[in-house]
Amino acid sequence: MNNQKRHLRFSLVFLSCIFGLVIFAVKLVFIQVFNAAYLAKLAEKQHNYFIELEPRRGGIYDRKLRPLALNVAAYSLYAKPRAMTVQAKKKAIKEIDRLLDLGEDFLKKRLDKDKYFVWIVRKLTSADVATIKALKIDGLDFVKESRRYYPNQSLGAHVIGFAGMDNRGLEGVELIYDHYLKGEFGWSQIIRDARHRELLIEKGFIPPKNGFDFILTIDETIQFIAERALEEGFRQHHAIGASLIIMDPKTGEILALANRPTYDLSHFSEGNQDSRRNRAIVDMYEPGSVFKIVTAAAALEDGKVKESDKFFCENGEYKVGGHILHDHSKHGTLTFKEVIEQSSNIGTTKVAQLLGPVTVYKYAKLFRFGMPTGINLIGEVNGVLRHPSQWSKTSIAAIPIGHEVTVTAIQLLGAISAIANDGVYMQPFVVKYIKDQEGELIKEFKPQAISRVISGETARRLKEILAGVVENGTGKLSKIPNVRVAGKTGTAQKVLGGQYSHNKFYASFIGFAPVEDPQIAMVVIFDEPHPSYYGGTVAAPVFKRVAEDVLKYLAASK
Amino acid sequence: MKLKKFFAVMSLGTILALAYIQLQVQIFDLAYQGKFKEKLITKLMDDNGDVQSNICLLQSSNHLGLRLLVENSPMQFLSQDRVVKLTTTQSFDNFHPVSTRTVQVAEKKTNFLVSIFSVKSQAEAVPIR
Repeated sequence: MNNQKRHLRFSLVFLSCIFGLVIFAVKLVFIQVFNAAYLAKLAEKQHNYFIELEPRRGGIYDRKLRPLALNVAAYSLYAKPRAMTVQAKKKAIKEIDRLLDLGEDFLKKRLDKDKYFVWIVRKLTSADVATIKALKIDGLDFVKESRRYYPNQSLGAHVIGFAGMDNRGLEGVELIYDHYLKGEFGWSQIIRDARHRELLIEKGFIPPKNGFDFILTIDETIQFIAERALEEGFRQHHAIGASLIIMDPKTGEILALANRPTYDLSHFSEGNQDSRRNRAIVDMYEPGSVFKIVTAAAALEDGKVKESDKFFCENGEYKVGGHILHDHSKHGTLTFKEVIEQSSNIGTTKVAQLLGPVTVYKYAKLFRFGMPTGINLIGEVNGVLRHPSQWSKTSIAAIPIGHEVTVTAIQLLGAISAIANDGVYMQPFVVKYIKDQEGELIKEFKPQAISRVISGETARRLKEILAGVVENGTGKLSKIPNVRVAGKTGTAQKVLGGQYSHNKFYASFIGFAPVEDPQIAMVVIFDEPHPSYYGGTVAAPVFKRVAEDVLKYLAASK
Repeated sequence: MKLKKFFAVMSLGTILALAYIQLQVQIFDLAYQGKFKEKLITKLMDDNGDVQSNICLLQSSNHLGLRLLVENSPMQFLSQDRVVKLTTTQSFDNFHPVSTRTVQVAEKKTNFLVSIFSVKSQAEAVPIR
């Protein structure tokens, strides 16, 4: 009986074990056979981790390879509101606001969101990151990104431009060449352990393609000289805007381009639309007397006038097509050279009447007014130059002296450079070459002669006339000791509401130096300077100050 | 006899399995160490970037210009007519021939015993791009 009972008990235990084993076996079969694909996928998802590898955005350098824009590491702060306790949120609001001054309301709004991830602030400095990390607030963490860094702050702001929060170019060279600067993202597939810690075991890797480096024609030192003098003039003459461009007339390379008002590239969001505008290429204005270089060039090239030819300047009043033309000071008889030197409107109009509208228009076109210069910067405008068929009876007394025509600063610079360069118009450009991270040359922008505007002989004669403007005429304040300067002053009334203003002017000066072998050509324009508003008293001194230092610098750099 | 053979096979199998496990453990240990070192390198590179950007800021024309050429500063660009060019004599050139001056690089001294017992190559500092 006992034996039978023991046998039964043994059988029960044995069967239970077998049953248990069968269950395990079934479960195993279920896992290994039926659920295998799903579980393998789940494991792969847990262990394999894709990381997007950010490329390095290309740097921007000046002509001497001094950095103008580069990338530095930056950390962005984010929060995980769902994982944060009420205490942690309170601490975060108090401490982060104290550190970064973001506003308690802003932080509260962010942290009260029912989300797993919210940005708090992007691209912090390393000092801020270290301070926040030391606070040890649960639910706050950092993501590594890169930040665009402009060591010269506002210097060359309108040429360089800036890249936004996502490292995409938004202005200037940063925008035009964004495609080449940004590079291409890469990726890496790495393994993570069960605790989601990353291991240095790569299963797949495609390296990021870094962006190309851009070397500009701008010279950082010349840019500084230009900006300093422009800023001083801008403040001294209480202008609402100003532009200055310097170019190598023999190559077309832009050595400096400055505008006022300007903005700090590292804090571009603080600048307004007005300060970001590249006035030198997007603003059109009636040039006034600086445009007389076109009339003078046409007269000399067509052989209609010689330097010694005399013109009666009607003692300051001359009637053309029912309109009375004035000179700023009364002149009797002047030679053609003196007409330009003294900037006589009446004398220039009489020269233009000799030439006729078609010739004036032809030379204005040859000097590339009314069309873009083709500079590799964004937003360049054409300006307005009407065809002679659209000219009124008074146009012959307006266009040759720089009215009824609108131009940009870069167009004026192109024109004066053509005279400095013995009559050959060079394409202005700001990018010298592009290279990759290994220093391999990708593209070189070579000086490009667009066309011959006037003959070498005419250019030589015109240079002497323009040197006379500085030596004996309206541009005396641009004179540099021991250097011969050639130039032309301009004072133009602003057109406001279709009428010429009597108290708002543009003051400008265009010129080059030295006359014998021009190293630089320059345009200086002030918008609404006051109380002084003449090109000869407002813009010419700025030209002198910049040209003097730049010529010394260029001589020392050789 | 059969049992003996069975134990031998089992032992071999166990040793191989343990060796495999040990290798796997080492691989993962190295992977953790690698990740730690990568973090360290990243931090150093970030610090290097910060230092570099500070250097760029300090040596930028904007910074130097504002410091050196402040308003009413007597400093100005040097005019060429104020530069005095000196020509050295032939004997001075012969005595201090610039082109033939070479920088003496100290030869690497290697310890024979260390090189025998070490499987590692000598550490060399490589500049990080």
